[in-house]
Amino acid sequence: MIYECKEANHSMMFKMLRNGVMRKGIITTKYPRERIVPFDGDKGLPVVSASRCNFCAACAMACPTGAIQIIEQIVELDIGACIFCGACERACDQEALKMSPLVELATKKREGLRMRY
Amino acid sequence: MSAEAHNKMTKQIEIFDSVLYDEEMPGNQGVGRSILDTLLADLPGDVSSVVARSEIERNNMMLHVPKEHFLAFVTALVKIRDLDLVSFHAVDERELHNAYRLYLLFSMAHDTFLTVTTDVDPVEPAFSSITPVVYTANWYEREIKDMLGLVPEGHPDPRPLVLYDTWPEDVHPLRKDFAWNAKVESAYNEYTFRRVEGEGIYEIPVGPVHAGIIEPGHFRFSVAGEPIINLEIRLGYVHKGIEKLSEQMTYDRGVYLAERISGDNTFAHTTAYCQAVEKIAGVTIPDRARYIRTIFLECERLYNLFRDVAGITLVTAFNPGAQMVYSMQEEMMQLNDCMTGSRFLRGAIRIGGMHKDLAPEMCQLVLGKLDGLERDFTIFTEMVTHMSSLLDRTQTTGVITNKIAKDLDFVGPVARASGIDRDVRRDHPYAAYPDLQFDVITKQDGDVQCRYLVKMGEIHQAMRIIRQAIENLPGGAIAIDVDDVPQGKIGFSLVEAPRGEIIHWILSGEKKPYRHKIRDPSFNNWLAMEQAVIGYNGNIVPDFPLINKSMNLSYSGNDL
Repeated sequence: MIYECKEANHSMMFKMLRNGVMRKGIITTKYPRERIVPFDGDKGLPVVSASRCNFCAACAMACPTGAIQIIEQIVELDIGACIFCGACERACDQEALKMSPLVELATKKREGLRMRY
Repeated sequence: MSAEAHNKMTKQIEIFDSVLYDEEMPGNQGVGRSILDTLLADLPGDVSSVVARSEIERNNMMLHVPKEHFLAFVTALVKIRDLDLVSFHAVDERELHNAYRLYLLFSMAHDTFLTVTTDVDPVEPAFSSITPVVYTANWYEREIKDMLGLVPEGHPDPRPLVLYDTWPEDVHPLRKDFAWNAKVESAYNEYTFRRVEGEGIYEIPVGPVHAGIIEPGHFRFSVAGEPIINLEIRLGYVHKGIEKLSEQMTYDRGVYLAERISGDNTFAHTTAYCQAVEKIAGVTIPDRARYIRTIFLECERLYNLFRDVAGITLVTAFNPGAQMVYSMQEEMMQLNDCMTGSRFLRGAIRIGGMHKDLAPEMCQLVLGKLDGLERDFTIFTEMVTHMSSLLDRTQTTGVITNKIAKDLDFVGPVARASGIDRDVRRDHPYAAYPDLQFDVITKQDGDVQCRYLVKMGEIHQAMRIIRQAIENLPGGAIAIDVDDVPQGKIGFSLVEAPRGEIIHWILSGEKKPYRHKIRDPSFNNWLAMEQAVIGYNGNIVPDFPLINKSMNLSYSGNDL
């Protein structure tokens, strides 16, 4: 009886080892387990349509955190400072700037948070 | 004024016995004047004669009293009238009339307010403390001392309150000569905790970093074995200078700041801010905006209360039940996301109305969702109200007596569970609440079970309000432009947030607030925690998490 028990434990242990319990190094799982389906009105990454934008800087003026800068016909957006309030979208007369439903914006480095359009 | 509008106004007055008037109805000003006259007539002659000047603006009566008579006047006032202290704060008005001004704001019956003001000379920055007569003034006066450097003389506990230990003692951030972005040298100040001494008394320090990586706060328990003898709460670790920041921001930007005062009461804070500014500007927002605001306010209440109920259930170790309610909270937050594009209802409101409209199909979605949630929640309620393992834990735990709740002016569900019948939605109606039917849930015993029942009852009421608001949702515009906000005017607004009443008080400056005072309900109710855990009711250390969950206060809202 005792012997059986031990055997059961052993086989369990081997099963866990095979699955990588004691393995060292990086073990990652696939992300995401299921894809997030955003709602229509979800406020994520602001996206600028370069063909429509006339660089009037209304969005930069409206931004409460100063996340938008316009430098020589380039709209630079600092997502680290963005609070996804949608003030820029409302300020844009040309309908060039839209809040997209993209919310997975993590980057490995801080520079990756600077978007240029 | 049209006959229809006049009828509507008369009806409202009949329903609420309200004295709120607008400029178009001169007769109403008389009602406000007569309330002031009776108030002054009830005071002893030598006390009422010290009032230097009085004025009435809307439903707020302002009485100016010289500093030397301030304490005597307030003492006489609270003796004759049942007043709730709403706010006590100071403004650096040295640029305007070379003095600091104290504003003591009381809420009275019939949707009226009373503000007692007094001037403090900058040469002698001190005033006599009113804490011995108005107990609630305790933390407010300590805050005034920290932020403006006005010393409340005779205060029983003059230790620092809001600023962190490394903040130098003689720097007061809300003074106008302190630049908002100034850097200060670190100082070292020792904060002394109250000591309980005796044989077998031990202290248990908990925090400021907590196990759940929640917000920071320090709890110092003095215990004799398991029973708690005393608890002292030290907060201020996340003081962000919101009031000072707000003075630098134009009103439209201030909305985004108000959204971030307390993360889960976003919509209530922004509504209070917008209403205060709208009051200064003297605008009336469209009816549709009023109704949509009400719907969102109640949606916010729903997800907050679901989380609170789930939290209490979890701490009593009834995990499956807690997960049921947590899933309802998640459904509510996804509904918020669907309606506004933000799970916390951010970016939906603006001064003068709303940014987000509610489409008819969205209304149907909300109604369908509410039906499902109410069905599930009713099953849950029936299950837990008769569950002996849960009742053992919640009944007679963390009792706050009615007297303590009244003396310290606790607010929100905490106060209502102790038998205080106060709800700003009914007593100082705003948004669409005057047009809607709902009950204010009160319980008498003041223990965790009562707070649990009040919160569960409020969930049903919130659903009732949303259904009515959607049913009667008027058409039309959702916003009007507010361009001109006059200077030097006072506007304030009370909003019943899920935790209790929020006050935003604004003295307007040039396109920005000259002074913006915010009071979150947690500022009042942290003292309730100190009272509730004391062991003469048999509370022991393991009861603390349960009592804490039953109130679920905000650190961020307290540490402005």
